[in-house]
Amino acid sequence: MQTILVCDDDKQIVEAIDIYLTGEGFQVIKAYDGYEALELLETHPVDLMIVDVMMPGLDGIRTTLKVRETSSIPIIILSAKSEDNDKILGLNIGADDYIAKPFNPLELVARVKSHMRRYTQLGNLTHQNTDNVYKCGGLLINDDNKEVSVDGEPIKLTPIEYNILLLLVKNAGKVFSIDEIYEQIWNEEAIGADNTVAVHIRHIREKIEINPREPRYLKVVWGVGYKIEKQ
Amino acid sequence: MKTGTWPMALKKQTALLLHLLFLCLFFAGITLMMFNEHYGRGLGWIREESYADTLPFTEQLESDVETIFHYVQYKDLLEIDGEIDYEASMFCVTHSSGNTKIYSLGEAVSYARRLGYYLNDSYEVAGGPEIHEWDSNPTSNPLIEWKAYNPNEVYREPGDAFATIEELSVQVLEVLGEYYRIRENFIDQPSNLYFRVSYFDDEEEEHLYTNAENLSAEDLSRMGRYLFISGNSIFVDSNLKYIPSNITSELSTHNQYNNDNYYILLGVDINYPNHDPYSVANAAYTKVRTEYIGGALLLGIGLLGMLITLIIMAALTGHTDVSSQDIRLHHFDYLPVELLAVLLFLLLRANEVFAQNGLPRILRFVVSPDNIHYAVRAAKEILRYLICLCAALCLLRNYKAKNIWKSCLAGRCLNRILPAVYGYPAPGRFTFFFIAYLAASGLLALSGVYLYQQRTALNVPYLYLIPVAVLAVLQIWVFLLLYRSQAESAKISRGIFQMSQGDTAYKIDASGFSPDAAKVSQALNNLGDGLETALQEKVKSERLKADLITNVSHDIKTPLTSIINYVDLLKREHIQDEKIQGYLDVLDQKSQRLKTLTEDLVEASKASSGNLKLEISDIDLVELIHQSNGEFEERFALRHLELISHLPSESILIAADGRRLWRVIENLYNNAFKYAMENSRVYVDVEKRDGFAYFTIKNVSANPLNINADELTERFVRGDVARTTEGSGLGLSIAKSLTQLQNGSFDLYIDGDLFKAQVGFEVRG
Repeated sequence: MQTILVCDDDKQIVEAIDIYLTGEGFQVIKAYDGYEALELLETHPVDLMIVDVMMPGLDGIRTTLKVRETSSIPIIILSAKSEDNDKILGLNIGADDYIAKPFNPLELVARVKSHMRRYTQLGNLTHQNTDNVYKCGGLLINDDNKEVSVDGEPIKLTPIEYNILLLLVKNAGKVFSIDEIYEQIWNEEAIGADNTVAVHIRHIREKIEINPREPRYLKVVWGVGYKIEKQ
Repeated sequence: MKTGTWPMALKKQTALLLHLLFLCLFFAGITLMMFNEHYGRGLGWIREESYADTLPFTEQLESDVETIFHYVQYKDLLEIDGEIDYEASMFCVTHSSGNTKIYSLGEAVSYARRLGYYLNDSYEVAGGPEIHEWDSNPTSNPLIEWKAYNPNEVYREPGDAFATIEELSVQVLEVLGEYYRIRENFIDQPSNLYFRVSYFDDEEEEHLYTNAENLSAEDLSRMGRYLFISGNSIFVDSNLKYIPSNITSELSTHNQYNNDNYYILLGVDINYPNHDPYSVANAAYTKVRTEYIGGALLLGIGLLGMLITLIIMAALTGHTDVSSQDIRLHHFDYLPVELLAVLLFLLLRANEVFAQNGLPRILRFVVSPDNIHYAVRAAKEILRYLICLCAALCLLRNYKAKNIWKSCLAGRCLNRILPAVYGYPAPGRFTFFFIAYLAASGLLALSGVYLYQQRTALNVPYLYLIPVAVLAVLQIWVFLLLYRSQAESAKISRGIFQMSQGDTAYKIDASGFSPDAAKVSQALNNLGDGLETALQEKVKSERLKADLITNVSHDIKTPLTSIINYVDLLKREHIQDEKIQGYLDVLDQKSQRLKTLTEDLVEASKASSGNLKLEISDIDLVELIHQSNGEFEERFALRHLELISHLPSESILIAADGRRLWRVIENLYNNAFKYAMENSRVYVDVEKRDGFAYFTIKNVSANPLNINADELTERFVRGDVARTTEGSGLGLSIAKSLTQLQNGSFDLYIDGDLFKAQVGFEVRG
């Protein structure tokens, strides 16, 4: 059974998260400040940690820094601070994910599961890498059998969606405009292309992203185009 | 003597007396020098020159040299073994009768004596008959055959060769007199001039002519001034400043032998122990020289004393006693400076007139006619000096009392006019000064032209340069004033522009400004300070507000998390009671709205306070709208809204922050999604107009829009007054703030139920 350490000074939030995660079959151990969390980490085997930022004693940022000195377990930061700066800071000091309060419990569970899968299973996927397998973070495309999976979870895409995603993954980091995507996929000249490509992109995002409004893989560069973030 | 205890009046009088005394000394010195023979020679000669080096000495020496050679001639003629030889032949004549007769010295002398001629005390021929031979019988003069005392005489005219015996005898007597005189002056009496002339005949026998037989050549050369010339050398050995010009010719003329074996040696004892022309002339020279030096000394002392006493007088004048700084003015000191100048001018003129008419007559009582001109001149200059001295002291007193400007007419006028002028507003003042400037320039130019035309008639031909120079200075001065004024107003306008463009911290550097401009700059700087402070206060308070809202929203979010989570947990309990299900739905809905509200609140406060970091880049508005359409098309379909978009096929580049602009568009789409009437159409257009790109979204509101368009962008205002729908009421406010932050325009239009929003950006490139 996988163990998740939840650390927040608000006991009710810890309790609620406990309920959700236990319901999903995880074992949850609880801490109410940074020092407690560090102690528990030493005494228990922990597979993932959820930590609040604003806590008395040792705050979430310092706790994360401490943990990262010895361990590489996935860490999800949970914070009422939802500004860009706070997110960037959290991710930069070694957290794997950043969820703003108030959060959607289902999203939290989904993210926890995703990180777990990646942490525990993805390691053995890497060595079956062939020419026709494209990988980008937890996103995996096998062009031989046209299969797509995110964090090990298989995803079903339509042929057009698949082609668009393949194009973007093959050129990870490059931004494609709607017209470019249209010409590449439909092999036609884009004359005043309508909303088709944008709608397809949205569908892909809804399928491969946990929160399509804050995509991890398929990012919208507003006013320019779309790209797959290079991981 | 303690000067400090002297009364002030006594001090002044003493200074004045001393000054006059030194003035007298000064003039005495000038007089001495002017009437000296050396006047006009400068002063350099005083140091080096003695009488023996002067031209008069040389002239005396030249005449003495001539005398010496006369002696050489007469000695041979008249002497035998040191005694007068009365048998010596003097001249030979042929009488008209045809007889030729030689007259001896004795015959000639006795002939002359018979006629009444004699030699006086100074060996000059005197006496003689009342009727001369040449008067009685002018035609029967005998013909001169030769003259022993003048062998080389040349007769230029035929008559010259005839002479009476009387004439010839007198000549002989003159020769004899001269011989006696030479003997007495140089040989019988001691002289300061020693000479030694020596010729050697063909038998090497020396013929010596001297008044210093006992003195050797060395003795002579030790006497101060000496001269040695020998026949076999062309060099002159001498320490004389000027060599007598006649000496070499005389020396060779009197050489009777056909060789160059002869010499002359002259010596002058410059101690002048003996009484002779040299000692007399030397004494006179020394006296004159001493007088000149004395005069120069008096002049120097007088000048120095005058200067010192003048300084003392200048320091004392006007003061009543030593300690007090008060200046006491005499009655006439209160006259305006201009009047004093006129008075001074009149006095000087009067002095000139007096010097021409009255003064010579008065001075004739005491001064001889020879010196009257000098005396008049000196008296005139002294009077003039005293008048100027009085005027200078008067001016100085006024200066000390700082009275000049007050008392002078120009000053009084200007002191009346200027305050009145400065009382006028600036345009009037400017007009006055401009007219004054024009008048001054015109007057100067006219006087310059007039003086130039009259330059030949006037004594001072270049007088016209003065008004020209003053005019030039005036022009330059006015130019500098105008230049400074322009520079000042340029600086001030720059400051105003800077401030108006938001640089409220800009300061005008008022150093070197005129008082008026400095006042204006100071006022502007104060204004800028006030604006700056107000602006900073505003920014600070906006930031505080934003910080407050952010912090409050953080504090709300934590309990809100629990509320949302536990509502969700409750819903998962699958409670069958319909009522409780309804309550839970309300809780869920309201907690979700609270969540949106807190998030939007933070964003709204940041957007309106500008507390956001924008990442401006070139983005394609058409692409952005395509993307937005893609995001919303299906959501619109949920409410049966048809999205109709008119987008240009080419891209339109604008400078904006893509993510923030997406927030704007998203809010507008969300607005349409929430408030548009179901089964209606939403129109989206992008067009390029006048260099601007406009995005327009139009929809028909589900609820009546009985509200002002401006009010819609106020915070928390929503189209539905009942506030039953979801939404924070901040969407449009955020959209507007974000657009304006990116320098875009954001306008809302309401026409009945038609809602229209337009976002405009300047097109790039």
